[in-house]
Amino acid sequence: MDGNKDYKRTLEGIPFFSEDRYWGKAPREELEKAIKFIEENGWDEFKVRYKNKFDQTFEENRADWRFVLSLPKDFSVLDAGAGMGRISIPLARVAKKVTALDQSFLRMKFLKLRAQKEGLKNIEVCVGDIFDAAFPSESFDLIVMNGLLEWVGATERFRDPREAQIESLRIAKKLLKKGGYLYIGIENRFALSYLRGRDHSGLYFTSYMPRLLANAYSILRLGRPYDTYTYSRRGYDKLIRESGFENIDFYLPYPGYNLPRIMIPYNNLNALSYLIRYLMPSYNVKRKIVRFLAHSKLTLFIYRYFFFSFGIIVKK
Amino acid sequence: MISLLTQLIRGHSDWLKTSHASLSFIKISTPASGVELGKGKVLLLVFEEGESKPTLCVKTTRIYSAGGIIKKNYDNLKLLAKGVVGTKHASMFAEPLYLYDDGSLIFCVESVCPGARFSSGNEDPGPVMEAYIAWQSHLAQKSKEFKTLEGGIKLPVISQHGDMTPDNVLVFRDDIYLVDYDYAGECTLAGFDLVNFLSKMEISSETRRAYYEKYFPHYFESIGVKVESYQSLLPLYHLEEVRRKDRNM
Repeated sequence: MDGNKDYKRTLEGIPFFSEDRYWGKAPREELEKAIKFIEENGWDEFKVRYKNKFDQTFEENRADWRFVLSLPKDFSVLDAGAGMGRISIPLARVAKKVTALDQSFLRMKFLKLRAQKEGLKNIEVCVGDIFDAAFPSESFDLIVMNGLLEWVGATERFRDPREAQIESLRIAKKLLKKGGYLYIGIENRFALSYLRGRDHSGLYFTSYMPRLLANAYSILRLGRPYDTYTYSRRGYDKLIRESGFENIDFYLPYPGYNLPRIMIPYNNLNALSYLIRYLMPSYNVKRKIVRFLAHSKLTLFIYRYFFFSFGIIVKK
Repeated sequence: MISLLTQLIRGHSDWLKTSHASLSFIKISTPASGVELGKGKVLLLVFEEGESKPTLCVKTTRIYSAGGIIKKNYDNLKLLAKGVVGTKHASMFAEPLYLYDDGSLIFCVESVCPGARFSSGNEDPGPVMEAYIAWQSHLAQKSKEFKTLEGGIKLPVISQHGDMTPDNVLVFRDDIYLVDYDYAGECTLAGFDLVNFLSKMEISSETRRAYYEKYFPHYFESIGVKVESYQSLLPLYHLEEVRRKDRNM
């Protein structure tokens, strides 16, 4: 860690800023088994045996939002909530240095192995959350919070989730160099998909509910408070401004922030219309109707409010 | 990259419809792009404020070492454009505007071919075939070189688009555009694009055969050759496609 001794301990060469806290779509034991499998059998066997098992990928397109930024040639990155490296790996191919931070030791161990496999010596992994990670001020050109901000409220050290989110953004601001970028990939509170799927809380419709009601409902159903706040575009704008940033641009990532194949500038309805009418295949009736509706600016104006997610680019 | 690109565009105000318009960018990674390291391009469509269609298309790669494809795409497009300069066929292709390469970043700037992808299942291929045949006829008139194939069939050497799949054909009202120039000009086997296009349409084999029967004679007549049966050429077209894939593995 370049002489940084603020971490509590190291395990297998990975420094800890805070205690290990596993998370992921597969149980811890399964990832433990998979890592052992990689160590014993190699990556080719892993690819076959564990295909689509974990939230990781060998595709290189998950950080393609970077093309709408203006990063310096030798840029340094903090990937906060790096998970299994979907973003750290492609960024490390073009960045000078990537620091991957995640609360889960196992996920960082996986990412370390993956970096070794790819021959990427410029990735450092560490265990911790954004509140405990003691990096020097103004040390990164880019900080990535992809799928993280909605989860940082799940802690008891702040009065409410919003306060935790603002604090995490303040920390990001402190760690960014002047002119550096914070990239936030996150769901829209009012995404249409939340009408038919579960919110981060694991419950239906909680993102649509007023916070007080969502909290009471979560306590009643799950025995714990509602702490995974998402917001509308205006809500994010307000949140980010409260943390001290001023230069904020919103994009609509399609199909979603985890696979940003297309990034559409939020404020350009012509671009959104062009994308739907000309670039998306209209192979079924539903798509044809969407294409027809895209002729109307009013429809698109309203549609943006219910888009699945946002890619938010914040400049310090 | 965006500030460098914006600066470059500002320095070439003739590329824009309105020289001082504010610009915004759509970033596009095609579905297959990025599945493997070094494969595929990333596109940026440049929108001028108030315009309903983009003005410019910028193509780049994720890593510089894969940038050969950008240079190839740009050089191929220049070659195609040279073959149709000053004719009505020029509008079928983008206009190559600029190639940037500083040893760590490579991208090219082209004009935009507006339009929606050809719907390969239910759209009439007639307008696409007409545009393609007219373009090929123009090239055949200029070509002085001939190739004699097995069976004694003599065809003029004519540049093909090389990847004229329905996905790479855009339609806007009556206009037809061919996009993606990674292979353009590499293949000079007359009629290759015609087979490539029709064989990749999602249609029944009967319909496909009917299209072959309809468009092949028209094509050969337009390029000034006499071919008894297109069927004897189908294996050659197939072989050419296999070779092309092998070359680009």
